[in-house]
Amino acid sequence: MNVVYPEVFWLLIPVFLLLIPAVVNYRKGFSLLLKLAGEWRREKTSQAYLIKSLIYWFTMILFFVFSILALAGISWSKEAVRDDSEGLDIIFAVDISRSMTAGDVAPDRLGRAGELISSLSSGLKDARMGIVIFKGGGEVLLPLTEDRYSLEAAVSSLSPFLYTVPGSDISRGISRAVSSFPPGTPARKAVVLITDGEALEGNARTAARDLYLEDIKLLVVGAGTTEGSLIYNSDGTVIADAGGQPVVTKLDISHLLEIAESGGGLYYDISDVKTPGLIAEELRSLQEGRGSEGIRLQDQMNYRAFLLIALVCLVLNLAASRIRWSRWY
Amino acid sequence: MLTFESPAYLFLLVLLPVFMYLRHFSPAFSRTVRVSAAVWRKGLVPVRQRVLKFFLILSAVFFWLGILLMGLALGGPALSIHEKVHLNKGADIVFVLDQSPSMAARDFPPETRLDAAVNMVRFFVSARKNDAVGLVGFGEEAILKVPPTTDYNSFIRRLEESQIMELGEGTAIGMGLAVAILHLSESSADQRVIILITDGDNNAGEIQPLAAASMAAQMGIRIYTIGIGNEGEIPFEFKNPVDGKILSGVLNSRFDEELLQELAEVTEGSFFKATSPGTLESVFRSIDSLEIIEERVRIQVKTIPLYRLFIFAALVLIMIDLLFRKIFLREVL
Repeated sequence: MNVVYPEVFWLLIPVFLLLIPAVVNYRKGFSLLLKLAGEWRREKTSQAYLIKSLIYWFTMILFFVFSILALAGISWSKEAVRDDSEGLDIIFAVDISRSMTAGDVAPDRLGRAGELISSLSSGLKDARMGIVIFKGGGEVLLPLTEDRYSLEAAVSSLSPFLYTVPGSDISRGISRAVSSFPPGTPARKAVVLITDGEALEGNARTAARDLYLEDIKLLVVGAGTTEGSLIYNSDGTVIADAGGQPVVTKLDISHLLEIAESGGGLYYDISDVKTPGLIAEELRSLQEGRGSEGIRLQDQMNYRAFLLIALVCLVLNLAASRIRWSRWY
Repeated sequence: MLTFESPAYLFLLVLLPVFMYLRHFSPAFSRTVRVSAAVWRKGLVPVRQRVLKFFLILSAVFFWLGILLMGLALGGPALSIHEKVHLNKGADIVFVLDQSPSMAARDFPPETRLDAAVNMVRFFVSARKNDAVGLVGFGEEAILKVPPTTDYNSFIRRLEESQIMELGEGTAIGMGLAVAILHLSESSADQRVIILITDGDNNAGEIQPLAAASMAAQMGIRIYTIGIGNEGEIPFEFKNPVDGKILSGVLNSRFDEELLQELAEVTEGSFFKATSPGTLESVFRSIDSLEIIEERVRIQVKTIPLYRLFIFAALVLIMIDLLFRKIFLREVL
C-alpha cells in the first residue's frame, strides 16, 4: 500500500476537535428541548436526543474521516495503462555540496558519484543522459544528450566550486532535474539522485512525490557512510562549526529512504559494488517493462472506495436527523 | 479541458434532487420547528427573520454544493492537456560560432556581428521541435559549449552568454569544425549538420579547415558555411572579457570566401554570404528549407487529476454549513 499525500492526515486533528462543538451543541440542545418538551418527559427526551445525537455526530465524523482518506491518495492496486514510450532519458542529479568531498568512500563521495555515472554511461548506450548539479539551488551542468564525450567531460569537472549558491537543498536538485526533461519526447524518464542526504533546507519528499506523479522513475543513491567523515578545506585544515568543533558529515540513510519512498523509487548504496549493475538493470527494465503489447502496470489511486463510504455516512447522517421524534413519544 | 475519467459515476448525481427534496420540501421528513431562546430570556428577537432566512439558504447552498462536488469527484475530474510527441529522431545540428574580436564589427546596426548571429541562431532554434542543437565557440581555441540536445532552454541560455574574445584573439576555424565533428561522431541521427558562422580567415589552431571538412565528409556530416559581414573598413567596439576594458577602432574586414565555399562543397553543404540583418535571416531560412526531415508525431493526452481539489472544496463547504447550523444557529437535530 502506498500513501501519496500522508500530510493530509493532519486534517484528522480538526475533525476530532469537532467533538467539542458536538458536546457543546448537545448540552445546549438538551436544555432547550427540556424547555420545549417539559420536565415530565425528561427521560424519554434525553434517551431520544442522545441516540439521535450519537448517530448524527458519529456519521458526520466518519464522513470527514473517509473524505480525508480519499484525499490521502492511497493506492493498493495496479492498473494496466497503454505505454507508447520509446527510448530512455536519464538525468543525474548530483549533490556538489562541500560534504560530498568527504573521503569516507574512496576516492571521495563526488569521485564515486562520477565513477557511477561513467559506468552507467557505458552500460546504457542508447539512453540520453544529462547532469544537474545542486547545492542551495539547482543548475543544469549538461543538458540531455547522446554525446558521451560531453558526459565524461562534465563528470570530470564535478566539484563543489562549480556552483556558488550556498546551502544544501535536495528538493531544488530534484525540481531542476524534472524541469530539464524537454517536452514532446516519447522516452521513459528517470532521475538518479546522488547525495549524502544532508539537507539544510527544502522538502525533498514533496519534490520526490512530484516525480512520482509525473511518472518519472526515481533512483536514490546514498553517497558516504553512516560513520561519517571529517571535511577538509583546500589547504588541508579541517572544517569546524561555529563552536570550533570539527564538522563530521554522515550519510543520512533514513532521509534518503524517505525520499525514495515518497517518489515511489528505490534506494542504493554507492559503496556497494553491485550498485552500478543493479541501477543499470533497473533502468533497462524501464524500457522493457511495457512488454510486447505496449501495456504496463502503474499504481491506481483507490480514492473512490473512501469517497463512496463517506457519502453513505452523509446519507445516514441526513437520515438520522430526519427520524421522527414521535417514535419515542 | 475538463474531462471525467469514469463518467458513469456521475449518474449518482441524479439522487441529489431526491435528497434535496427529502431534506427541504418533503412533508414527511422536512418538518422543522424554529424556536427563539432569546424571546424567553429577554423578550427580544436579536436576529431578524429575513437575515436568518438568508443565512439558512446560504448554508444549504454550501451543503448541496459540497455534495455536488463530491459527486463530481467520483467521476474522476481531470484536466486534459494535448501534447505532441515526436516519434522519430530529428537532425543533429551544431553551430560553430566565431567569437574573435572582428565579430564586434558594427555593420549590422545597431548590433555587432556576434549579436546578429546570436539572435538569428536563437530565432532558428526556437523554431526547432525535435532537432538536437549544439554549440561550439571558437577564437584562438575552440570549445564545446552545448552538446547536441533538445533542451532548447539550456542551449539558448548558453548561447546568450557568448562574448567576443572569450576564446582568444585568433580565428581557429579548423579547430571549431573538429570539435563539432567529434561531438557529432556518436550521434544516431540520420542527418548531421554543422553551421559555421564566421567573418574571417583561418589563422590559428592545429587543424586545417579543409582537413576537418574532409573528415566531416567521410562521416556524412554536411557543413553549411555563413560568411558574415561586409568587406572594407568597419568600426568596432567591445569589452575585453579579461580586463573589462572597452576596445574600439576600425578594422579592415574580409572573410575567406573561397575557403568557406570549398568547405561547403566538400561536404555537400552550401555557402551563404550574409552582409545585412535581412540577408542573415534569409540564409537561416534557406538552411531551414534544405534540412527537412519527415516528422512522425502522435498526440498524447496528458491528464492532471483534479479530484483532490473537488473533495477539498467540498469538505470546506460542508464544514462551514455544519458549524454555522450547529454553533451559530444552535440546531438541535
